[in-house]
Amino acid sequence: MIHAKQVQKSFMLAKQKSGPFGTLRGLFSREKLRIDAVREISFAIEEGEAVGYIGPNGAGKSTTIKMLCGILHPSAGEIAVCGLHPQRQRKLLAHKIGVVFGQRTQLWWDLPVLDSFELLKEMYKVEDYEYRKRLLRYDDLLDLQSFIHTPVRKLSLGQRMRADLAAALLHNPDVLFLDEPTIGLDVVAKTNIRSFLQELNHQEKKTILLTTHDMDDIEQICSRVIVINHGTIISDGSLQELRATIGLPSQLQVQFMELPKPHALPEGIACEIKGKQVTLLYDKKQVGTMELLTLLRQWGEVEDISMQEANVEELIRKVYEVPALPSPKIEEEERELISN
Amino acid sequence: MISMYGRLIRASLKASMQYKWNFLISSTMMGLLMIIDFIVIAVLLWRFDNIRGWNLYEIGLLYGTVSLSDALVRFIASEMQDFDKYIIQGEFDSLLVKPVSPLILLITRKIDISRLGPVFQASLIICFCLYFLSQQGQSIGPLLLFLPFVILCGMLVCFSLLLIMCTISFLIGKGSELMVFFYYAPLNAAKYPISLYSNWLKALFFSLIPVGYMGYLTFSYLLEKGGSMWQFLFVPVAVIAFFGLSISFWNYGIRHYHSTGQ
Repeated sequence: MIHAKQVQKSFMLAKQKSGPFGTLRGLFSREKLRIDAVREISFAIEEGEAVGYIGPNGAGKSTTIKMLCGILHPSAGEIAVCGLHPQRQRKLLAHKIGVVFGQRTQLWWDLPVLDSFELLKEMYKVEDYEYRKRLLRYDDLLDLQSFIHTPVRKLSLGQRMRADLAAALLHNPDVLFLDEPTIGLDVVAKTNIRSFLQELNHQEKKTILLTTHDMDDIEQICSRVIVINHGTIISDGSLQELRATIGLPSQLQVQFMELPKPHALPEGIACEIKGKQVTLLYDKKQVGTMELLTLLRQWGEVEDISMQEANVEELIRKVYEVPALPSPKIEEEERELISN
Repeated sequence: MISMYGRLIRASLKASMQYKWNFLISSTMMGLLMIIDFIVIAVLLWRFDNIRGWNLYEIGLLYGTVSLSDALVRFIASEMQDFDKYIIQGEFDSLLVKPVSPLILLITRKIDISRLGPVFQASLIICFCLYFLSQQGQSIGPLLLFLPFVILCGMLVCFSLLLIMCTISFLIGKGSELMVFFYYAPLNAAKYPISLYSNWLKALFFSLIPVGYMGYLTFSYLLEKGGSMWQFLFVPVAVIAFFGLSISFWNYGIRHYHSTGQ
């Protein structure tokens, strides 16, 4: 369904000079900085697969998705989506793919949701009967009825995302590209969207490629995970495989009343002690949280506890086997700045 | 394609009607500006009997048609004027994933109704000047006949210039500052006979920024200001060639679109 072969994308940036009149000198300098957003990426996704495409900010996820939809032209390599060339056959491909960018809507900002749907129906030349059938079905799954006559700018983020999803599916595409579909949503909205995507994948055998920072998205929707960092694929396989090799770390942070007296912990737990604060990284499948807390009780009196579920950044760090503790990664932030 | 265009236009009209107050205020403001504009020009033109053989009403006719072309293009394709935001905020992405040409999606995204003020103003000037020209014994038959042609050529030139500005935004990320040099200023210049300007400007207005083809050449033939029939016949050729060039430049720009990091 989706084939990418040694795809590359690089941007040229004028190099910023430092020192006095840096910006001005930068304007006239011929020195260019080459940013490789994506380097030699290859993968194949079959029909009906749901693939999570994850990586830290600036890793090249969005760039890849944009190349697959035909928005960006790759610097090198070949891409085929549904057997089509995304750049040369962009309009033809548009009929076969549905695209949702979590960060921005594709609906008409000032028009009621239904008007946007009608316009898309015309644009994609969807039959009346099909259109009504799909609208009913998506209303059933996403509960669009309550806000279908509201202008898009007045929708909540969760409603807007539901409307955007339905809009991307009106022409019944075979492939769905989702760029951070759950970003900024609350737990209820996230659950809604996830079960909807699950249903699409299972019932209608739609191929889904999604990027996310939320491991729960991956766990509930995707059967396969591609991990990308610095523009290269560093892991590609099923979620079970990924978990078997690195585990999905959960983070537990415990604040003690006094300096803790460390005891031995079960194997497979990374632990860092900073004064009264102890940070643990562990795999929930191996050690229960309660069990861990009972153990920690022996260390001293606990003042406060905070928990954080595994996120993509943690995962990447695990893949690299860098000491798995939160430390500001300046390099990645820089990359993000550049790509913005 | 045309029915899709119509639907999109209706949608953007409906969208702009969502802000009724904004519409009322901005068209009133545009109307006021239009009146001030008009008075300034009238005062200016009344001071001279003729400029290089063009009398007040002849210049008025040129002024009116060029203004009308400009106003119509900005009415229809208002989003092209601040195209920068599509590039800077990456909004252009969503235009590229639809099965309709991104250019059509772009120009139908918003209709600027407040531009109807200048459209009305320019039409008024044209009617006014045509009336007085006929009073002076000028046969206005051919003028009337070719008026739609002149306006259409003018619109094509304006549109192509805007399209080139948009493409420059693609390539360098920001193009709105260039609009002053390559759009607003040349268009103001085209409202008066090109023969007034120095040679290098004349050359510029018939080549790189071809605003000379908007009205000047046609009228200098029709009003017998030294224009030849060949020049007159060359106008549509030049305009269509420029339009074609701008479209291919635009397509080139799309291929080099970088999007944002989001």
